[in-house]
Amino acid sequence: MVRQTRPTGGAVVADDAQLIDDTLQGDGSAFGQLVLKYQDRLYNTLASLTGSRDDAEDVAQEAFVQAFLKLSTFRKDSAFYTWIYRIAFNVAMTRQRRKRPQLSIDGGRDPNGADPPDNSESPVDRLQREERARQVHAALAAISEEHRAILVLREMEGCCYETIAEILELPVGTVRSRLHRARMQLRDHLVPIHQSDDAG
Amino acid sequence: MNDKLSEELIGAYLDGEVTPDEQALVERELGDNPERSRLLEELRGIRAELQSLPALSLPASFADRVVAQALKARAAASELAPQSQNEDQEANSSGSYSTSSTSLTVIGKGAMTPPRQSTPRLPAWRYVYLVGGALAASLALLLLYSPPSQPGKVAVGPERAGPKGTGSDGVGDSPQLQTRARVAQNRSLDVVQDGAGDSAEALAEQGDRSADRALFRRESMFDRKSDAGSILADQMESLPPSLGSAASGSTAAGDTAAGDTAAGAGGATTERETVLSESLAGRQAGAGRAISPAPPGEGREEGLERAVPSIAAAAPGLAAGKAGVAGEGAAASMQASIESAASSQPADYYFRLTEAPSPAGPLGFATIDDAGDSPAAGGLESAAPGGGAATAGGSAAERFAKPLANGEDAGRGGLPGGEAFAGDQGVPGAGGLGGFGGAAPLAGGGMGFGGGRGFGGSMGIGGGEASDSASAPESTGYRTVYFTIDRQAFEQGVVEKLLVQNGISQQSQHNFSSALAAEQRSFSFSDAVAPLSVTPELESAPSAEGLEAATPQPAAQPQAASPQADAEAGAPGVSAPQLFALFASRAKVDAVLADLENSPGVRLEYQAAPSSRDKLMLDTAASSRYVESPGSGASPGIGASVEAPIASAPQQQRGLGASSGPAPSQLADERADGQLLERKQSVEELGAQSGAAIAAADRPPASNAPQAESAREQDKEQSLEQRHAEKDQRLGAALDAGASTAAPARTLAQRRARTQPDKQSRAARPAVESGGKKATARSDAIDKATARSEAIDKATARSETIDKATARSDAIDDADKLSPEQKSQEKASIARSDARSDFVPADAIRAKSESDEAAEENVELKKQVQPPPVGQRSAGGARRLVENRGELRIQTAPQTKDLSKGRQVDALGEADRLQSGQSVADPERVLLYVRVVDSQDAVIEPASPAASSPATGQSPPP
Repeated sequence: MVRQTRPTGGAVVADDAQLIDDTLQGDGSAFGQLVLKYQDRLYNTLASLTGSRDDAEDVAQEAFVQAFLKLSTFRKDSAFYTWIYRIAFNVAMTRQRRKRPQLSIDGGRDPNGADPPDNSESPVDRLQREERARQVHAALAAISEEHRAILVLREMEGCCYETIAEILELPVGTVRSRLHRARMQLRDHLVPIHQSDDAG
Repeated sequence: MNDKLSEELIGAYLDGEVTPDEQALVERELGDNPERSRLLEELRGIRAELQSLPALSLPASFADRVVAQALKARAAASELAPQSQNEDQEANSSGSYSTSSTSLTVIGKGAMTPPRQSTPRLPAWRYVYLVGGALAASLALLLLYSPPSQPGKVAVGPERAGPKGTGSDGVGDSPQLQTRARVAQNRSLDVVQDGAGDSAEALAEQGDRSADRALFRRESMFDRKSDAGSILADQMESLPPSLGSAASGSTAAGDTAAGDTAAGAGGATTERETVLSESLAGRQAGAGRAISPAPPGEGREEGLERAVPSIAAAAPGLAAGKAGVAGEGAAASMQASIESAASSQPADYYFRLTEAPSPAGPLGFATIDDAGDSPAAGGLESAAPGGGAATAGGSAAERFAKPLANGEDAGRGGLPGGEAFAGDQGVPGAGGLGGFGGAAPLAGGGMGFGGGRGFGGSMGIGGGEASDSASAPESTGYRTVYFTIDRQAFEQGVVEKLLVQNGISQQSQHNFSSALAAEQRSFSFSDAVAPLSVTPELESAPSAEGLEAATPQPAAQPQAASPQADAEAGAPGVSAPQLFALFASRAKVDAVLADLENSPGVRLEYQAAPSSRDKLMLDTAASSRYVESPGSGASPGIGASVEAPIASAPQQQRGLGASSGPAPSQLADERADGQLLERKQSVEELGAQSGAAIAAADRPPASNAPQAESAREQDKEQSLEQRHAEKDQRLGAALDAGASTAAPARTLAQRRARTQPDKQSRAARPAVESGGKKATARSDAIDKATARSEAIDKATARSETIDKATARSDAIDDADKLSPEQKSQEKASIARSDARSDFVPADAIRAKSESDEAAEENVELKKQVQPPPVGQRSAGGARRLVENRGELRIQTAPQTKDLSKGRQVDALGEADRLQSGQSVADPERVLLYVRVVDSQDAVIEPASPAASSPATGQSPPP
């Protein structure tokens, strides 16, 4: 899974720094490598954040383009992915504010091939897994954007509190308390689902 | 440790984000408290749930696509002003990143060259497009506000004042307006600069608001400055006739106000239109970009093109100002405006031909280039020239005619029209032609459409009060025809040929040709038809054909009958020659329209009468009859409209036997001597007579039953009246004694209070006209009074119905001949008829008509203090909606009272539904509304969807 490449805080890694320099020298393919390196991670995070794959793709695309345009202003005292995440989250939040609140539109539809088929599981298991994923997405969509963002960054991206604080521009203490509230909210939304499943 | 902190620590413990001390604390807590352990398990479960979500991936081509678009974006950004980059760097160096701030910077600088390729997948591009749109708006504003001293640029506003100082007397030079205009401009620029991420929406909204404000200002300005029309009219009269049609002829004063754009309002209108234009331009530039990405260069052009219609729409006023008063300054400004408009000539020419009855020069019509559906254009409809002297009047018409308050000052003048023409009391349904009159200041001034009732089920258009001042506009009743001429036909002079073929006056032809030669797309002229010399044949059976055939060669100057001639004719309000000339001229216009329709390259769009009052009158006076009995009174055309009433009307017959037409100078002398006022008074007297006669005609027709039965009916009525009187006495005593609120007592109280609302309305109306908060309060009072009056009317009508039913029931009880079963059946029948809710007596209809008019006045009054909502443009003094729906624009009132069904009908909504293919409750009625709006003539057949328009033969709008 993408999230296995857990990002770390601190300065930009050497590869990223080189790719950034190459990009600034006019090597467009270097930026392509940067995109390729982070696109799935960002896409997954944004998909959970926005609740829509299309929106996630749009946001990711816009974030990368903006990063490309502003790359010369990127200070390398932070990780590139943190920077791109910050851009992407800003874009996503801006877009979300312009849109009416909505539930996840992907929860009820098929993955459309984005999810590689797992031949080892039975159709029933697959259906159950998809249903479970839909419920989790619905629960995620039910909590506020702020809480959803921090929850996604922590639980799905595995970001540490410091990184989350950097991306979301929050104090670390706020990150901890907000993350706790986000977890409690998500739990409150998931518990009824669990109970109904158990009853069923 | 409190629970919350403990739970947070547990979460942090799960994340490994605790210090060793906290870790020890949490582990101790977990060991002591099983709830904490359970919470930890729940949090782990949540994490597992989230991490079990399927991983998504983007295709590898995503990176390529992003890179390609990023390169394009950088190429486009390289054309940006360097300032943008600097500011971006500053923004980034501050440690914050905001996409919206980037957009803000770019838009604020406004120096971006538009990208030439659209990037639908790249929302960031939208900001780039917005820059173009904002630039277009800014340039449009700057262009429109360029000082007039710079040749070749559009000059508007206060500096335009000519030698006569027209604008300075009007609102055109108003510092307040200037300030507002600047504010509007600054606001637009502010919007551009502060657009940020939501700049598109902001621009659009600001444009809407600015447009509304401009419209509102335009109307309120006209209202407040309505006296400027009088001043300018005086100036007009002081000018030599050679200055142009606006000042020519004996209707100088009337024309001044009728085409009130002509002088005073012309300049002011220009400025107002400019304000509107800039708002619209800003809106188009902003909203347009928000909706559909397009290169800003196109946006600029589009913005300018959007602004042009407004300029062009102002051209009639400017043209008239050029001819009359405005002077060279205004003329130069007008010319520049028109040149600007002409510079963006489309392939086809869109015209609006407005026919205006001018009693002095009986009919005029103006072609006004509309070039679009700008709300501003609507207000200019009233600018139709050709206002004239009194036409006809009647007390009934005057009773219904209540000039709208906000146009009362400047807008008075149309002499009441109506029954005086119709004449014949015994031929209901014959289709008399309603009088024309009322007031039609340029925009926002009250449409003086009164409710002159068309006689015999026909349609009356007009009304309004005759003004003491000769400076008032007198042209209101007109129809407007929109048509498009393709460029080829336009250049071939199709319209000119039609004008020649149909005997339109040479002066008008000359004006038209001159306008064409100057490449003006705006035309304004009035036609005049010389009075006819009445022949016995015409006297006996005038028809449209006969009138047309007998129409003499048109004269260059409008003419009118003298009061002496009127006196000889026995019809002081209108002379037979005038009447004939009116009809003949209308026939001419009809012929022109018919020829236009049949001409290649010309497409009639639709017809519309400008005032919802027309429709209101139709509803109250004619619709019910027409709808209930199709064709019973439908007049197929002018010929029939004229023929029957005139042929059988004694007064009109006397009038027909009278005079030949007066000399052109007579009317001017007449005005100068104040004889017009005498004519008005005579008209009123005649109207009183006619009104009485019509009231008699409105009563149920005389029965052919034996005289004894009639006597019995009279006895019954007397008995009922006596019974009512006794009942009133009893109830009055009970009411005075403070009896409980018994229903009969309420009935009496309602009867007693019946006249109070009108008194309140009359008392409140002057204060309402004074404007401001007090006016609003008074307006509300009028509203309440009107509503109360309506309720009382309804209750009264109901009470009367019940009384009649009671009397009938009593009569049945008294009838010895009837068996008990028969009595029971009769009473059941009465009960059924009593239960009918849609029964409205004729008197109630008339009363409602008055109330409706008052309600419309209230709407106008409210508009003075309340801007119209977005999407609803108010113009011409009568609230109306102009919706552009492809080929068809529906022009009607938001609500129309359908008295035949006793309920309010949302005519516009119904029409919309019909047009969109949705089912409506009563398609024919909706069509009727549309048709009513279509035609001014008394040709109101309850059309089927396939029926054709009576005037032009075109299909009904839907």
